Amino acid sequence: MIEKPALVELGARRLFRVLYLPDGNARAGVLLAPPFFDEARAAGRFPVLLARELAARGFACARFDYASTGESGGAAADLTLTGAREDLRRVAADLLARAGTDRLALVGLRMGASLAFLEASRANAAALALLAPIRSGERYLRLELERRRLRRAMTAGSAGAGAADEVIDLDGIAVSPRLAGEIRALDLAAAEAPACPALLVDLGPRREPSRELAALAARMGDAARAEAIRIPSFWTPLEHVETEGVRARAAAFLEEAFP
Amino acid sequence: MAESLEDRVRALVVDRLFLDVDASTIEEDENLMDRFGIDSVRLFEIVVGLEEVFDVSFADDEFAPEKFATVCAIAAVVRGKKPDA
Repeated sequence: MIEKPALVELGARRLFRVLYLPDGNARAGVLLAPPFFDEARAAGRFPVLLARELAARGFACARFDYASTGESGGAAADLTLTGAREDLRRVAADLLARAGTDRLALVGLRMGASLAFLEASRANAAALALLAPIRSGERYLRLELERRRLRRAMTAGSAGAGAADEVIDLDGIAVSPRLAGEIRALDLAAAEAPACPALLVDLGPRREPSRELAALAARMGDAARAEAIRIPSFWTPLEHVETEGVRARAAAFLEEAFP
Repeated sequence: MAESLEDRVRALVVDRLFLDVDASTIEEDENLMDRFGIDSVRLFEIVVGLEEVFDVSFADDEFAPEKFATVCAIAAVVRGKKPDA
């Protein structure tokens, strides 16, 4: 197995991407789409371990940072959902070219899962694994702000508040008004649903998938199913959370999709 | 007999924080932050759980740790928003 990190020029953007190539022919290419903001940092080891495990099972994998995030180029203020979706498509096309396959799966965590859902048809994905997808951007942004207020309240004694049209500061990560608007408009329930084999997973305290996730899976057709894995939210900065069960489930789904 | 709001809050705290304790051992006025080392991340999990289970939401000025410090305090917050909870 080859693990190759690089800064690559895709379109006009300089993206940090790690490529994982299996020994022998790849059974398919798997693109791992990361979360946004603090969640990408906190989930750090999960995509690394998943990519290595998938490569060991014969998949070519790529993980990457969206432009303006992580190790990729671009100013933080330039991050947009539109740009992130373009990055996802470009890295996917590049992965397939390098892996010598035309069979693509998208695996996304949190915002990465939402973007994978939205881009699956255009990227011609043959399988989707959506891990704790953000279904409502409005709710996601509201909860991110609540998280910030709680943190401030516990550390500074004041929750504070901000005007609705200001640049939102999520503990050092500036969310531009454009990005905030794009996130607020994100609504998977209203978006066109891709039709391909899909695994949608609620990760968290639930023992059964939420009604909303089950409804989303139902819209994707008979080859999509919703499940729940009870696990602490490992994309928040808790102590170490073992994610082996989630990785194993995603890998089993992909092996089933690409026998 | 119907489960009391306080019992539902206890169960929610144990469930959302993946605590390995019997919920009934949590006293109503016991400081959750002291006993379980609850930080802002864990407190946030409780807040999200309250929103989902009781269908309540919180205004900017309600994010004060003392409002979520004990089962009794949390129940009072929920009762203030949902008197029939």
